[in-house]
Amino acid sequence: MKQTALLSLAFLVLPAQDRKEPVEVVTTLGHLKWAAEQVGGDRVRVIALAAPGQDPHYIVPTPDLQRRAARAEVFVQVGRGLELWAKNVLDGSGNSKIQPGSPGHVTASTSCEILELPKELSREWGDIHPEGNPHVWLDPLNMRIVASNIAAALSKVDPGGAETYRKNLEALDRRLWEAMFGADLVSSIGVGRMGVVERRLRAGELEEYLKDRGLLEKLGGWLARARALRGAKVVSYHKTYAYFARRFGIEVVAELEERPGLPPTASHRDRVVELTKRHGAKAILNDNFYPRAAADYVARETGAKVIVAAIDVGASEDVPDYFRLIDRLIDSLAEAMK
Amino acid sequence: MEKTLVACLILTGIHVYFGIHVIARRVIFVDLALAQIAALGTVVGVAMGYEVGKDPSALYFYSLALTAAGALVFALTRMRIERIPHEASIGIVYCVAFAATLLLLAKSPLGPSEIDRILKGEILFVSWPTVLNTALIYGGVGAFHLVFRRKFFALSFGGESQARTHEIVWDFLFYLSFGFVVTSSVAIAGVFLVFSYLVIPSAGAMLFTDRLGARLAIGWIGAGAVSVAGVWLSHKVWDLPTSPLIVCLLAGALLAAVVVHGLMSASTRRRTLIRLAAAGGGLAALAGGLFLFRKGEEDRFEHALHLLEARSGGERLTGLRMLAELAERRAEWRPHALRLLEDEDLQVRRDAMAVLATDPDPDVAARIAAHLRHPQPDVRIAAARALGRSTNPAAGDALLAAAAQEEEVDVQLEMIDAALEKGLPGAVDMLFGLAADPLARLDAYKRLVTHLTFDFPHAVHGGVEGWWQSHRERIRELLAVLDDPESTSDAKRVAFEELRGMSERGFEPADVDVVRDWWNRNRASVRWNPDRHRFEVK
Repeated sequence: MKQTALLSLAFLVLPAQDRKEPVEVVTTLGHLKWAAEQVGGDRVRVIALAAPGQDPHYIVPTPDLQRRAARAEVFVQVGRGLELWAKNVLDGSGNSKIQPGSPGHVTASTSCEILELPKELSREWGDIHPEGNPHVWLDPLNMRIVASNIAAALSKVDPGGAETYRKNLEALDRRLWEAMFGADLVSSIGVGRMGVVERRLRAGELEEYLKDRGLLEKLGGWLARARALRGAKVVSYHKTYAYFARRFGIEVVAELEERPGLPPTASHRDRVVELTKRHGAKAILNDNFYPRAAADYVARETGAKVIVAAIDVGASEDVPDYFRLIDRLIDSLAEAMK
Repeated sequence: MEKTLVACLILTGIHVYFGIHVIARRVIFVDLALAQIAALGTVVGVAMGYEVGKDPSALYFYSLALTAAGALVFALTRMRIERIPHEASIGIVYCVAFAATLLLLAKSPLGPSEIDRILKGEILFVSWPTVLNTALIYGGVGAFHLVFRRKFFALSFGGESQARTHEIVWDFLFYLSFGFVVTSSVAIAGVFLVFSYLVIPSAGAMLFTDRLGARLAIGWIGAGAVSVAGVWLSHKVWDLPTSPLIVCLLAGALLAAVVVHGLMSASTRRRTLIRLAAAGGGLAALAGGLFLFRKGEEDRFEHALHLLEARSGGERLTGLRMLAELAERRAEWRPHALRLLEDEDLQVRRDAMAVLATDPDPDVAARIAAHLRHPQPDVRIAAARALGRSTNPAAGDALLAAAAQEEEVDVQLEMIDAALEKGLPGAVDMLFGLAADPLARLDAYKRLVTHLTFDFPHAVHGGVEGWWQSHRERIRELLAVLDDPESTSDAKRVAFEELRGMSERGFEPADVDVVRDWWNRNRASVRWNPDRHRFEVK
């Protein structure tokens, strides 16, 4: 009797069997789906609630996707007030595993350095980013943090896969570094030391650091291509590009959208035109889901070029993955600057 | 401003005219319905592959096609002996058109912005070609209606005594020509403004006269004046969106017209004045009540504390920033901030450390120091910087202890920097240790040079005599800078950089030995000068 009891206890204490079914992951946006697939590999099955190319602020998921959320084990959203609509999905799912605060809920932008935090919190009418600018994913360095947040949650929900997730995350880190700095530099410096290089970049001291070590010519990837864009002035519709601009050295001189959801005033429109002319901005970045009238107007008045920009993975056929997403942004800006 | 103004006046012209018809026919909502059908046409065009902005003609024809279909439906439903009132059919068509638009847009990325655009229009961004096109189309429609004015007025104002088939045709032509107009108008000005132009001026004109010509005149003059005022006010005086402002001004003008009309006739004058006073009083009471009932301002401190508990990381960060400004109440918020040192969001932890850095409480420094061993390098760096600013005497030792065990070179340097600024000789010792590491040598040496005063060697190691002859003048100048005790650390660094670049021999370990010798000789007698940020021999 005692032995049976002890044996039963042993079964309870033994680690859980390795699961046979993939982890069901639901994300809000395309780039989160991409990151979850990179980290999870075969161990996950991922869907995104947003249809390709939709405005991430205002999405109405189809009933089918709502159902999938009810069965999800991990829910990933960017957070920072970007997806206010996600609350409806979470509330309607009746799924306690994915509610905010549970291990299965991931706020992907956690631990990213946040820009444009308000000095004090005011529910100023029309401000849809009172928690800081949420568009963190357009800085490739932040994608590493996003991926690691997803990996951490996956490891909690599926401990048997923790090693796999860790390895996949490392591999993704390496690919992101190679895309960012160039494979040449990464192999010269060694993957283990890339953390230092990344911190130098964040501190704005990358060039000095590389020059001191005679490594500046080895810089490749996006950073090398973006040197042609250094100091370029652009106009954007919405505050989408704060992180992209900081990382790649471009400057957003004006935003067409004065307040989301409200019609612009004439003085704002004129101010944008004046700023565009004064700074000689050559490109207007209009996210693909925004109306064109304002951008076309400014383009007509100033000669700047309108770029219809995809800002999420899968928004168009040209951007099936994150690398192509950043490629296209850099390339279209470089093209416009000529 | 001119483009917007001209566009508004053109809209005024045609819509006041149609408004007179529409009110007489009691089909106010036909405007909304046709506008929505026109919008649906654009969306269908997009679904068929055309692009907004790129294919305006194609989309315009799709709009028109559906509008024609709509016109046909209205013409047909008007003439039936009515079980369902005509207005109801129009309302139904409006709803169905809106719903169809939403369904089609459900999968399209353009969805929310399209619906927005339809409602609010883009009158601020209209171009001269568009204005010209619109004027031509409206002129054509106007001419058409001028030629056949008798027919159209009879249809709207007269009885239903004519033969049915002819009426259907002319009704269809009426709605079709209206459709032409609405399609263009909504694209420019949005449904709200178009609807207002249609209904409000003619309603106002109806108050004063029954004669068609006079109604048109009053409508045109009134709406024209309001348009000019609205465009001018929104551009020059108040910083407000133009479309909504004009709608409000039109409504205001209508209200004024009602009052004037009441005051004009002696029999209604007194009643009008009483009503005016009552309305004014009621409005004041409502506004006053709403205002008095407003939420009180929360105390800033309380607000900040609430933010620290927020679910969202961004709000916690904002709360921290607010607290940083309330240093005098530090003792009250310290425990809350300390709790954030264990936040799941590392950015929150880093900011919490920065906010707590200058807190004299010894426990705070200890809690921050614990983060010198956090797995994430960014967190360790933040801890080092915070301790650098701390006045706690134990902070320096904690930094040096952590630096000794730190594996990432740049993090180690941050810790050493923080300790250096406290004037700890141990930091200098550690720099010499780092100088042995090829990857850290240069950074270590830079810090040594800028934080110590020492005699720079005159001999250039491994130099060639000829090279020495051609460069020695400049070198003497640079050496003079380095030797001068009055030179700033920065000037010395710049001079040193130039020397180093000149020789192109790079940096060599032997250079460190020179400095190390000096340090070993003078360690016991150096003193940290906080103003010049360097160790000096007493």
